[in-house]
Amino acid sequence: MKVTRYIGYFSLLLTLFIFSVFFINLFEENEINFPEKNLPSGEIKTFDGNILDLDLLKKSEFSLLNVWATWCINCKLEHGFLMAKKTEGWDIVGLNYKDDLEQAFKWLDQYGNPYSVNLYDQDGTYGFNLGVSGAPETYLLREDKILQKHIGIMSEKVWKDKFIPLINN
Amino acid sequence: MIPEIGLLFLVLAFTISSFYIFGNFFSFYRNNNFVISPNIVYLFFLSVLLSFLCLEISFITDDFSVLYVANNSNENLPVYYKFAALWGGHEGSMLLYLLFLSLWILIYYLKSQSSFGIFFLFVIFSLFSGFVIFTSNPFERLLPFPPEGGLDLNPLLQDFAFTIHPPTLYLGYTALTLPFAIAMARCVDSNYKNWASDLKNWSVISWSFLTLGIALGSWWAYYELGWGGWWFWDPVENSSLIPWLIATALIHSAIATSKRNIFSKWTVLLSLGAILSSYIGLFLVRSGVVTSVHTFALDPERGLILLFIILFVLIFSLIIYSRSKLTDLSYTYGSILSREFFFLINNVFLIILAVAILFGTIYPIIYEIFSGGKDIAVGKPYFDLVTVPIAFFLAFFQGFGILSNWSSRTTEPKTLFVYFAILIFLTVSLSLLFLNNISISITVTNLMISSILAGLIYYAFLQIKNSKKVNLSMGFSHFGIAVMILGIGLVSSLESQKELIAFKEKPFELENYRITYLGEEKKIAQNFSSDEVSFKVNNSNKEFNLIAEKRYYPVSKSIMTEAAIFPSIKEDLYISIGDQVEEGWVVKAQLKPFVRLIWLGALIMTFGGFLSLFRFKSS
Amino acid sequence: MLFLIPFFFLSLSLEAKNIYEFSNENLEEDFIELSQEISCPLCAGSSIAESNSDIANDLKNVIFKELENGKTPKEIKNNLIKLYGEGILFMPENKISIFILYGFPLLLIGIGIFFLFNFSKK
Repeated sequence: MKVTRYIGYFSLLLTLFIFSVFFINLFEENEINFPEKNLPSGEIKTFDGNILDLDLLKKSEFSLLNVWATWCINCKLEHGFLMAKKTEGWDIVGLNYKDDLEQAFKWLDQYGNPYSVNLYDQDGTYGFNLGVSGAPETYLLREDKILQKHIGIMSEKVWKDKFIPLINN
Repeated sequence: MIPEIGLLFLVLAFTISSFYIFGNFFSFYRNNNFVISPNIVYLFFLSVLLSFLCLEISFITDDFSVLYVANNSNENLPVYYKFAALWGGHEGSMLLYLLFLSLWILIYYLKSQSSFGIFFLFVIFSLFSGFVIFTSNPFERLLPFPPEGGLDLNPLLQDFAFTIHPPTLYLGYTALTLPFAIAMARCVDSNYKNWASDLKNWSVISWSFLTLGIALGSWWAYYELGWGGWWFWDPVENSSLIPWLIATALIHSAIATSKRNIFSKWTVLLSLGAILSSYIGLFLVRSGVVTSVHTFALDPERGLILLFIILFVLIFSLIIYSRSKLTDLSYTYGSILSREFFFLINNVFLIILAVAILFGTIYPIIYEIFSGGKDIAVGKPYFDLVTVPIAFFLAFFQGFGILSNWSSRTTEPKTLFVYFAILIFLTVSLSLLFLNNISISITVTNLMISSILAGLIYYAFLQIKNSKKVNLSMGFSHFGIAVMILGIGLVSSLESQKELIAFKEKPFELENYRITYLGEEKKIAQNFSSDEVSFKVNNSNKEFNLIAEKRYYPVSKSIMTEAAIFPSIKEDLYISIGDQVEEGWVVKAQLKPFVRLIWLGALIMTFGGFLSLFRFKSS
Repeated sequence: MLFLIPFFFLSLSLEAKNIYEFSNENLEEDFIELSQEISCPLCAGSSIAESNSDIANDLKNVIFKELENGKTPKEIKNNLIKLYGEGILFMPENKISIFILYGFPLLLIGIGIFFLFNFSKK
C-alpha cells in the first residue's frame, strides 16, 4: 500500500533524525553556550569571620569559583583535581554552601585547602543569586564575568572540554 | 583473584557467543544445519552466571579493591543491599542485563525449534558483552588506594524496592530481544512454523515483567521520594514506558499474525521497534545526553560506542527485513467492525503515543542543538496533554474491540447496540457513585472504564451463553488497565493537601482527618541516624499513630525524608516532613484517594499476562 | 468579658501556622500557579510545589518574597530564567517550541487517522 510505504519512509527518516541528534549531542557536549553574565555583587562572610564585598575581591584574569560543602560526597571526588589546579597556579575561590563552618574547617584541614579565598554562604543567599542549585558546581570567571559553569564533579576531562576552549579564546 | 575469574567467565561467554556466530556464518547463508550442542548453551549460561556471582562475592565480601564495588557499596550496608548494590551503577547493571539475556537464551534454546533465532540472540549478546568487556568492565581494580570502607550506596537506593524493581525491569527489557530474534529468524527462514505464537509468548513474558517493573518503580517513587507523586515524566521513566507501549502493540499484532496470518510485517517491524526503543532508553540513561536522578554518569565515548551498536542492529535488521518474503495468507480485513480493524486502531494509537512521548523526551536535546546551546525542559504539561486524549481513545475502542469478531465471523450490529446500552448504563451508575465530585476529569475517567468494563462484561456473557471458553488472561489484562485508569483518574481529580508549620500538640485538619504533631525521637541504625517525628491521626472511626522520618547518612552526608503513609484502597494519608523550625516542623499532609488502584491494576495486568503462558503450556 | 472566652478556645485549636502567609488571596493564587510551573532543578520532573528538596524550598521562599514585594509572575519567571536557564520552566515559552511541541503530536494523529481511513477503504 502506498500509504504504508510513505509512513515507512517517514518513520525511517524520524529514526535517523533521532540518531543524528544523539550523535551531534555527544560531540557538542563541549560547546554549550553559556550566556555571559557578571558575578553577582554582594557581601559575604569569609572563613576568618570578616565580611567581604565581592566587588572588591581582586581577581586574576582567569579564576574559578567552586561551590562545595562537607555534606557533598562528590566534592570529595573532585578535590584532588582542585588541589592540582592550585599547584599549577590557578586562583580558586571557595564558596562553602549551606554548611557548618566548623566542619568545613576540619574538612580543609584534613584534605587540604585548594582555595585562595574561603567564602561562607551559610544560608545559600549568595548562591541563589549566582544560580546555584547544589554542590559541587564550578564557575569559570574572567575578572568579573562568568564564562562557563559546570554542575557536577570537576575533572581533567571537563576542564579540557568545557573550560580550556573559553580560556584560549 | 575472584574479580579476575569473574572477568574470565564473562570473556568465555563472549567467546562462545562469538564463535557460534562466526562458526555458523556460512551455514547461515547455505541454510545448512547449525552447529550447536546443548552443552555449549549450558556452558554459555553458566559462564555468565558465574561471572555475575563473582561480582556478587566481591560485593558481599567488601572487596573495595574493585573500583565498581568501592563506588557503589559500603561496609556498613546490610548484606541484602550489598547484594543489590551490584546493579546500582552502569557496569554492574549491564552485567545483570547480560545475565538475564543469557537466561532467556537458554530457555529459548530449550523450548524452540529455530537455530536461526539462537543465532540472532547470540549476535545481540556478543555486541553487548563486548561492550561491557571492552568499555564497561565491572571487575576493574582500583589499586593501589582503595577508599576505606567504600563510598556508599546512594541512600535513595537503600530500600527494599531497589532489590526488586531493577531486576524485574531488566527481565522485561532483555526478554524483548526474543521477539526481535524470532522475527529476524522468520525473515531468514520461511520454514519457521509457529514463529508468530513463539513471538507472541515471548512478547507477553516481556510485557508482563515490564508492567510489573514499571509499577514497582512508580510505587517506589511514591513512598520513597516523599513527595506523593507516582509518575514524573522523567526521561528514564519515559524510556521504560515507550517500550511498554510498543510491546503492547506487538502482542496484539502477534496475536493477529498467529491466529489469522495477517499483519506479519507489522509484527516483525514492531518487534524491531520494541527492542530499538529499549536500546534508545538504554542509551538515554547511560550516555549523559539527558540528566535525571536516574541516569548513570557516563563519558561520551562510551555513549558513542553504544550508539554505534544500536545503529548497527537497526541497519542489520532492516537489511534482513527488506530481503525477506513475508506474505500474509489472508488479505481481507473484513468490515470496520472486525477485530482486525480494532487491533489496527489500537496499535496505531499506541505507536502514536509512544512516538509522542519519545519526542517530548528528546525535544530538549534537539532544541539545544538548533538554538546554539540553550537549555529548555519539556515536562508534565506536554506529556499529560498528549497522553490523556490518546489514552481516552484507546480505552474507548478497547471495549468494543474485545467484543468484535475476527472477520471470519461477522460482528452483528446487534452486538454494537447492546454494548452501547451497557456502556451508557455503567456510565450513569458510576456517575451516581461520584455525584459529589462530578467534574470533567471524573467523567472522562468514567467513560474510559465504562467502555472497557462494558466490553468485558458483555464478552463474558456471550462466551458463557454460547458455551465457549472465556479468555481469562485477556480478561484480567484488560480489567487491570481499567482498574489502573480508575486509580489515576480518581487520584488526579480528588487529591487534596495541606502544607504548614505544625506545632506540638496542636492539631490541624485535612478533610475529615485531624492530625496532631506529637514529638520527635532520635534513632540510630546501621548506616544512618534519624529524627522520627510522630503524629496522632483521628478520623471519624479510627485513631492511629504515624511516624515520618528524616534520615542522615554520615558517609555520603545526604538527607532523606521518609514519608508516613497510612494506606488503604479507599485513600492514602500521606504525611511528609520538611525542615524543623523553632516552633515545630514544616509538614505536608496529603490525601490520595484510590491511589493504590494504580498499582493494583498493574498487578492484575501482570497476572493476566503470565496467565496466558499457562494456557499455551497446557495445549 | 466572659464572652471573650470562646475566642480563646478558638485560637487554641487554631490550625498550625501556614508556611507562607500572603497579604492577599490573589498573591496566593499566583504563588500556587507559579510554583506548579517551575520545575525543581535537581528533581525528576517535579515542580517546586510538589518537591520537598532544599532548592525547591529556596525557590519557593524567593517567589513568596518577590510576590509580596509586588513583582509580577512574568518578572519572577524571567528572573529565574536568567539565573537557571529556560530549563527551569516546565514548558518552553518561545513560540517555535510551542508550535513544534503541540504540532508534532497533531501531525502524528493526522497521519494515523489518514492511515486508518485508507485501510478501511482497501
